[in-house]
Amino acid sequence: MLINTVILFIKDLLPIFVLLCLVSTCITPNRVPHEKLVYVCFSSVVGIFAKFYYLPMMGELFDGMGIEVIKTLELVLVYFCLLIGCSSLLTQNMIAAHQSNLTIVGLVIFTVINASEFIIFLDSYLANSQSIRDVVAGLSIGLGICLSFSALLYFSLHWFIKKEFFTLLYVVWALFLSGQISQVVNLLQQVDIIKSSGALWDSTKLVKDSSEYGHLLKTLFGYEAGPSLEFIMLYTASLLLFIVTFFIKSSKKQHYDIDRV
Amino acid sequence: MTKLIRLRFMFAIFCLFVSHNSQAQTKEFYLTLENHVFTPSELKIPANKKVKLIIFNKDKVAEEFDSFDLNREKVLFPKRKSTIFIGPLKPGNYEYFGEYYPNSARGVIIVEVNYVN
Repeated sequence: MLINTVILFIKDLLPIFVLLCLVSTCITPNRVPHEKLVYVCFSSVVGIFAKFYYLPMMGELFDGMGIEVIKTLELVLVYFCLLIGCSSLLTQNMIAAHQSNLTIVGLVIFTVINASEFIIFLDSYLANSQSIRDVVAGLSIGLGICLSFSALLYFSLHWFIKKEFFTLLYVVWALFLSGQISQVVNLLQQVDIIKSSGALWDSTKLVKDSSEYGHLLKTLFGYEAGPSLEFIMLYTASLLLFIVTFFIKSSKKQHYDIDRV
Repeated sequence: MTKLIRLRFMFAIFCLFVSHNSQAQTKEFYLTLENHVFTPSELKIPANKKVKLIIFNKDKVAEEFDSFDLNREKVLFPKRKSTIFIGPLKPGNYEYFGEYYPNSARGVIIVEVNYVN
């Protein structure tokens, strides 16, 4: 029970820690006002408990496909909000009000998606009063691991910012968000909305999905040992969208710099 | 005219990926979760065919059906039925487990070429 709590903590909550690191290093510094961070915390907590409460009912919607359909919509929304938000990295101008607001919306929805799933697990475990000690110990260890990893990631990202490796940071954003949006394929295949084709390759021998590295790589860039054709296509399309945004923003920045000179 | 061609192209792409609605022909299989144990623990299904898996969670607490082999993950709410589509799969054994109680809630889906109903 202890190990299981640690695994689920990392699986469900590490993506939130990674996103917080990305937002706090690449977007927040002197761009998103601190008052807005209070709204983020408040709306996240309300959203998590509201979703936890209504999730069984949401599951009954769309002929039993409710959870998958709603999570798909949420992930798509998160993707576009954060794509627009992180594009400010390329121009290095003050973040526009709409970019700041979209980043906040993306961050809140992403937190609600992942944390509400973890609350379901906690609710299931805490029903058994004998396991409370194990759960508390597991939560402490999980939190410790996530905080250590986040500290490492935060300082690495900060170093990249200092060295002005903005394109590299943009690639990190692209891989992270593409990994998250690609989950949509598995969700829709699960409820038979998208065709389910076999795995294109199998890299289980290299890194197992169930291993610690598998979980970590999945969190960072959506690693899958046996991805389907549809998964790869969505992943590629997402990366292409990032590339297109890169060129649009870069050309705008060039025009802006020329005008200033 | 160009707009019409573009619309047709987009519709063709859409049809390519959206599943053909053949739920009437999709065979249904049932699993039950009780006292954190899946029954039957071994479920046989036909190879190269899409099947519908209906899981009834009889427990008082939620569980999460998880399978790395099948690439499926679904929360099973207490006293409710949940549906997952799996396949088409190649013959072999595909393990699944309950993510909250993985020691007791485990099972395997056996995909057979010569499946007999």
